[in-house]
Amino acid sequence: MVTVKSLDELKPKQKGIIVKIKGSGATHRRLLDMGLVKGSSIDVERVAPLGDPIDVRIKGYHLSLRKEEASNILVEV
Amino acid sequence: MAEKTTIALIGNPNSGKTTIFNALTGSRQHVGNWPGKTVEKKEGKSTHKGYELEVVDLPGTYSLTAYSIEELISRNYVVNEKPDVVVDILDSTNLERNLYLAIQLIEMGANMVLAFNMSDLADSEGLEINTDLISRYLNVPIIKTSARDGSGLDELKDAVIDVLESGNGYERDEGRSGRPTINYGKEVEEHLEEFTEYITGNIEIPEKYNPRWVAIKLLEGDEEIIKLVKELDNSRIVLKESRRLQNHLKAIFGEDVETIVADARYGFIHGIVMESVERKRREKSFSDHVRKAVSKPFWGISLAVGSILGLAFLFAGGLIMESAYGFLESVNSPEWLTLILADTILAGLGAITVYLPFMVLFFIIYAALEGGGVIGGADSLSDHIDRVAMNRVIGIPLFLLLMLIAFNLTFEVAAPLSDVVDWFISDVVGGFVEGLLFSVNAPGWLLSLALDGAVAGVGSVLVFVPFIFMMFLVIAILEDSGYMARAAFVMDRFMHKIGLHGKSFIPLILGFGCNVPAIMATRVLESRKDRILTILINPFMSCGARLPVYLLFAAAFFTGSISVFGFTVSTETAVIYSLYLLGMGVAIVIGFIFKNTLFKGLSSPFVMELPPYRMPTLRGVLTHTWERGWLFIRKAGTLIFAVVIFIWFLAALPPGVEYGSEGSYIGDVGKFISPVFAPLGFGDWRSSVSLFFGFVAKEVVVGSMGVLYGSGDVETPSGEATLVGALQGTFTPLSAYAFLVFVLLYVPCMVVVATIKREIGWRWALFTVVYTTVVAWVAAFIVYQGGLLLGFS
Repeated sequence: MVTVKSLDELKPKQKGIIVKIKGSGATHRRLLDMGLVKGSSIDVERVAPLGDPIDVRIKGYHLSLRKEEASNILVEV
Repeated sequence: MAEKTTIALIGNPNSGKTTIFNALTGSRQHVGNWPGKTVEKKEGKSTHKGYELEVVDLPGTYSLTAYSIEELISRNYVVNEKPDVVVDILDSTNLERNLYLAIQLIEMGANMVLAFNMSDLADSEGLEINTDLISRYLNVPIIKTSARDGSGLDELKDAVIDVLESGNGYERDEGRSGRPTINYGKEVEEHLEEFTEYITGNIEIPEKYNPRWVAIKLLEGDEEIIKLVKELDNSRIVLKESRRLQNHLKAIFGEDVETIVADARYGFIHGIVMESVERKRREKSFSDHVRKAVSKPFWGISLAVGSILGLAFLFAGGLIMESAYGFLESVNSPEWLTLILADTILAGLGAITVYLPFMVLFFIIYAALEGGGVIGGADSLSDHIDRVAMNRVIGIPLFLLLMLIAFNLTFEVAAPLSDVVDWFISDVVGGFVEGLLFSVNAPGWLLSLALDGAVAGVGSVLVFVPFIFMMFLVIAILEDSGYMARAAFVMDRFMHKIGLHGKSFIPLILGFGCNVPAIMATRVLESRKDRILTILINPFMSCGARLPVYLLFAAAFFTGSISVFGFTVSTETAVIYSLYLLGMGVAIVIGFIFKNTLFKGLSSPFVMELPPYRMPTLRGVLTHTWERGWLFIRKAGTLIFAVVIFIWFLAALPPGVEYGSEGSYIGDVGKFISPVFAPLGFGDWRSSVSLFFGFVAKEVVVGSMGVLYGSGDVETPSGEATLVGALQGTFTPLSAYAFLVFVLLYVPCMVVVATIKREIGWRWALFTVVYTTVVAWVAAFIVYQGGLLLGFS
């Protein structure tokens, strides 16, 4: 079964396929530039000790983002 | 005849640009392993096949649409300056994201060469990259390089010359380079073609820009291109048409153009990578990684010998040191040699290796847990390390422990070396100068100028060179290994709470070395507000130049030891740590206040790459340490030398006055300012003068005290011992501590103020001067008066 969730709802070791990046402006654009585009697979690796940010793996490298940014990323789980 | 040409090196952060730059130009330049190291473009020269190449190293960037100031530097350079050849350096282990920038450069139509760097790492990760195929797809030469072992560099230069001679960009062949243009799909392509014609039909874009590229950039909403077009005649209708098309495409696709474009670019790249890169995935266990590492003779032997030495020091450190001293005494080793051999080298080795047995024990536990299936495999050694370094439970304690170890090592290793330097300056240099001047019957005043002024003043600063070097060494290791980015990750939540940004953390840590590079490093921050805030509180990070003042006063007033949580530590160390912590505490409080007053509003996002860990190379670390440390020595030889001579004259004039007495000019200056400091417990005119000159550089506080308190006694060149004695006569422990608090917090040195002015304008620079001094005065007042109330003296 396929459900769409926002990335911040995923737990470590869960993975998904990006379906949409919400929002606009500089941050939105940066997320695209970093390879967070539709169809890319993304794994949540871990959450920082204090609960934020998160460390995800995308296109074979590690990227960290805050949950606030992650909430704009919709993934299919 | 050599032709002069410009070669620009561009690439993602951490792709090894700077290492390639160094290899090409032979220039010494620092390489860090955290995003955003080259904060300004650096230039160097290289010659090849009769060409004189001006090589420009640009700050790392992920895309041609800039996000931070340093990315803007790179973007503007390749777009507007049009270097003859652009060399895009890619990290072969991370091709997909690295190709994104390459694709944009190709679209722009630059004359270019791709360097697939770190090819050795890609090999060892089991990546098989068919560069010929990619090269054919992109119609751009690709050279595999490894800046580490220097392979591929000559081929890279050959390729650069080839491109230089034939050209493969837009301009040389009017767009018919045969390069594949990315196809954005039928619908988009039709509009793009129309719009390109519309642009060329209505406005005159400068010849160096490829019209199709301008069209794409306008539709993407690239602000820099919009700015450029706005300056042209007729721009209004073009921009209007661009907006119309944006809306039209959005209505059709349900996505904005930037998303469509980024999707298409990454789609194109994904296709290429799927066909030309094969990953022979071999998931390695942690013990495999370790086994592989220690099977290299150097690392294997180092680890074995180090661990044994560490164990020996752990259980019998005292005995080892005693027998070393005993042996050196029996062979009549002079004091300085003992200091170097026993106190620095042997004790330093001990201080470092003591941690190794614990590390090995930890390796064994980790490998056992892994073998037992308690923890699963990981893709790379970096992932294994991150499991521990960014672990939810031990991530933060480990970070704090690392900082503590780093600073401890700095002090333990540097202290005896500092004694050696002191001996060298006061006994060897001082004795030599004195003997020389006596032999030529130099007048008394010249003797005083040389010994009280130059030798005492500059010498009192130079004794701290070992501390500064060790500090920079430690910071270089943390930077080059990739740990700094983890520190930012681990600390972001906390930094966010106090109104800062995880990335602010790196400039703040760098501030412990020197605030000048630290302030420049704030360019990685995307938001101007974050930048200003991080710059404003950066001076509270106690830089290396303040350390001499702490050490001097700690040696004079805080000897002995105290017990902290059951551990016995020397009071000296505790006092110095307390100042570092106080600086951080003040930074946090002030940051919090500013964030809620001057910089109210939304916080900026946190999107940061966590680069793979890399073993720092000895050469890289030493180069870096030397470069930064050398600046300190040079400053001592020039600026500080000039200041101490100036102070000596002020102290010796008007003629006939007793040297450094209240009747001298400097006495007048001191007495004029000292009332301000009286409530803080240090109203002595000489300390006031030293604070006044401390604006030149903080270590001048020590240098000028060396001149002012150093007795006029020419027979014994005033080394630290006399200075300590003189200070003990003027300060009490409480007023000494208040003085240190003031030195920690008050106006940063003039170089820092100048840097702030350059980065964010003179208003903020002036603001920093005023507010830090107010904060310092208030803090020292609280310490001194509060201390008096509590019954300290």
